[in-house]
Amino acid sequence: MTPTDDDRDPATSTAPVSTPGAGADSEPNQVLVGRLDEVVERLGRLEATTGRLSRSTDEQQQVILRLHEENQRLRRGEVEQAIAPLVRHLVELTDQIRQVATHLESAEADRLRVVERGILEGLRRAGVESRPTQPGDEFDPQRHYALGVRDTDDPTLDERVAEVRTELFAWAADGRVLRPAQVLVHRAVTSQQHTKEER
Amino acid sequence: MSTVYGIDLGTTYSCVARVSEVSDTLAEVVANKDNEMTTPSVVLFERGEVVVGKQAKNAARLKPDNVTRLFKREMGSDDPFFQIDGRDWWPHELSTLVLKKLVADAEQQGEHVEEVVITCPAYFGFKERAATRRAGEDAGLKVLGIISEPTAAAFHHGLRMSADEPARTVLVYDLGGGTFDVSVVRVEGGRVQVLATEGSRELGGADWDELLLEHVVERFLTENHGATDPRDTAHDAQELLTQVEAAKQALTERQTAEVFVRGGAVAAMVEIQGEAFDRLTEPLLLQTVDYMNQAVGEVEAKGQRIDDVLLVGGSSKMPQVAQRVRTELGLEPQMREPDLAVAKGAALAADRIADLDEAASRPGTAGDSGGDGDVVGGLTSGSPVGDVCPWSFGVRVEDPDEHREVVHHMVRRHDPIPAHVVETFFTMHDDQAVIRSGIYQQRPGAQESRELGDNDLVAEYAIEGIPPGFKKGTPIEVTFGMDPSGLIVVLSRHPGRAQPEEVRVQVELGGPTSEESAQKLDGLAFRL
Repeated sequence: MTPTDDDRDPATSTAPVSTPGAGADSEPNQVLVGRLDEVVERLGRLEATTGRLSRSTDEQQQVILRLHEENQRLRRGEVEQAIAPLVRHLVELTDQIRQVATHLESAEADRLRVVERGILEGLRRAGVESRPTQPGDEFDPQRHYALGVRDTDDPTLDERVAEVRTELFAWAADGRVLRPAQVLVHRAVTSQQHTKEER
Repeated sequence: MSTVYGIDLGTTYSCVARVSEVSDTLAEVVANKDNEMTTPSVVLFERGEVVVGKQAKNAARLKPDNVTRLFKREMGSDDPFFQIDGRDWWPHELSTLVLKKLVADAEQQGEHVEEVVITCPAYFGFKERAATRRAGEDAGLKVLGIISEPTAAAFHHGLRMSADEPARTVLVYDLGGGTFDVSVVRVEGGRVQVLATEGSRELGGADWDELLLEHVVERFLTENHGATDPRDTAHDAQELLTQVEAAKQALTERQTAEVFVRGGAVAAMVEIQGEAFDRLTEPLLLQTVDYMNQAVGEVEAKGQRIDDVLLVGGSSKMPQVAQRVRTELGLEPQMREPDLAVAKGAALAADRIADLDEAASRPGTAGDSGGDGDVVGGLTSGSPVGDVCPWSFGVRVEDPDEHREVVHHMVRRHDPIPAHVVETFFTMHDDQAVIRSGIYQQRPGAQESRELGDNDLVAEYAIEGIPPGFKKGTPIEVTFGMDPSGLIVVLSRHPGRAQPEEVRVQVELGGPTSEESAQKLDGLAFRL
C-alpha cells in the first residue's frame, strides 16, 4: 500500500510550511511563530493520541480484569462442581452427628462432636462454612427452610425461628447459600387457633 | 438479529438459556439472581407481593395457604388452580408469574429477554400448549414457538453431531420430578422430527420419594420399639421427606445413604442400601420401561431402529434408570446435563426459528412454499422442529346416516405436525349462509372416539359469507392446519369465495382474558 497523508500519524507526520507574502524583517519571527504554532498543534495532537492510547490501555486492562474475574469464577464453579458430591456428603454427616449427639449421653456426644469439628474444618478448607442460626432469629426464606410451624401465644415471636434442626451451610467466598438451615418457625395464634402441627 | 431465549417452564423447576456468543451450535444457561441454574416453579403470595422461586419454596411450610406449586400439571384447565385473597388463579396465570421472575432475573444479569421458545411435556395437547403460549404472551414475551421437552433435549443433542453425519434415531427418556415422557426422534442435518411419543403426567421422581419414605418409616417403626409414626407430626414428616429426597440423590453417587428419623420420643438412623432402593422402586421403573417399549415398538413398526439413547430430567440420574435402559435396548445411554438440556435445546431451536422468521420476512421469500417450508396460514413444516400430534384432532360434523353430531378426526395421534389436511364437507340446508363447528381433541389417555362427549372442545369457529342460492349439499372445502406451538388454522373455500379464507379460531381457555389477567398482575408487586 502506498502511504498517503491520510495514512500518516497526525502526531508525527511533517507538512511543508509556506509563508507567502511575509516582509523581510518580520520573516524570521513569522517563521518562528509559525513553527511554534505548529509545535503546539502537534503537541496537542500528541497529547490527544497519548490520551486515546491511555484510554485504550485502560479499557484493555478492564477487559483483562473482567476476563480474569470470569476465569476465576469459572474455575471456582468447576471446583465447586467437582467437590459438590463430597461436600453434600460431609454436610449430611454433620447433620447426622448433631442429630444423634442430642440423643446420647454427654461423654459419647462429646466424642462425636470432636469428629464433627474435624469435618467442619475440612469443609472450611474446601470453602464451605457453617453459619449458625439461633432460635429467635427472624425467619429469612433466603437462609432458612421452614419444616413447619410451632404455635405461640406471644405475638413478638411471630415468624421467628423456634427450633433449628440443621444448620445453614454457605460458600465462604461469596456467601451463597449451599444448604439453608432447616427450622421450625413460631406462628402467633389466639387460643382458639391451634393448628394440627403440634397435636 | 436480537438474542432469543429458550425457557424450560418445568413442573418443579424452570430454567432460561440462550445461544452462546462463541458458536450458534452451543447454548448456555442464564443463572438466576442466586447464581443458580434452575429456579423452583413455586409462587408465594404475601401481603400484595409475589415471591417466586427458592424463597417461596423455603417458606411453603410456614405459609401453606399462600404458596402454590405443581400448577403446570393442570395447564389448560377450565378451573382455577389456586385461590388467595378472594382471587382465583389459573395455571397459565401462575406460569406467567414464574416467567416474569425468570425474565427479571435474567435482565439483572444484563440479558434482554423478549423473544422465546417455551417447552412443554410431549403429552400436552392443543389446549395445554395454547395455555403455555398465553402464559408467555401475558408475561410480555413474544413466543416464537412451543416445543416439547424431549424434542428440545434431542435438538441440543443433535446439534453436537457434525453436519455431514448421517441421520440418527434417538430415544429421549425424560424422567422429571412430576412427569415422565419418552420420545423417539429422527435427527438429521440440524432438524429434529419426532416419530413417536408416550408418557404419563402421574409418574415422576416424587413417586420414588414416596415409596422410599414409606420404606424408611416401616423400618423405623419395626426396628424401634415405642416409636410413633413421624408422619403424625407435620414438621417431622416434612423433615423426613427432605432427608429422603437427599438420600435418593445421595444414592445416585454412592451405595448407601442414611436417614435420621424422629417419631415421638424415639429418634434413630435408618440406613438404606442402593440395591434395596432399586428393588423397592422397580415397579415404578418398569412402568417407564413399558412406555419406552411402546414408543420403540411404534418406530420399529415403521422400519426404524434406535441408534442413541438420551437420558434427561433430574430423576434419570438414578443409576437404576441407565442400567435398565441399557439392558432393555442394548445401547449405552448418554446423559449430558440432564437438568439443563431442555432449556439449552429450546434456546438453540429459538435461534433457528428466529433465523427462519427473519428469512421469511425478507421480500420475495415470505410464504414461499417452493422449498421445505410448506406454509399453511403461517404454519410451516420447514421449522427446525417437527413434532407429532399428541392426541387426535377433528371437527364437529353431522353424521348424515345417524342424524347426530360426531367428531370427524382430521389429524390423528402421532401424525407428524406441522400438518394440514384438506377435506370437503357439505351444507345441510338450502341457502345456508353460515357453518358453525368446533375443534375437538381426543381426551388425553382415552381411546380415540367419535362421540362428542368423549372428546374435549378446544375451539369454536364459523365459516361465514356463503352466498344465497346454493342448495343443501353444496361442497365446502376445509383445510385444517396445526403446529406444535398450539396454533390451529382453518381455511375454507366455498362457492362464495374463489380463494381460501382464514377462519378465526377462538381458543376456549378457561379463566380470565389476557386483559383481566394483566389487571390482576398490575395490582401485585414482585419481590425479587
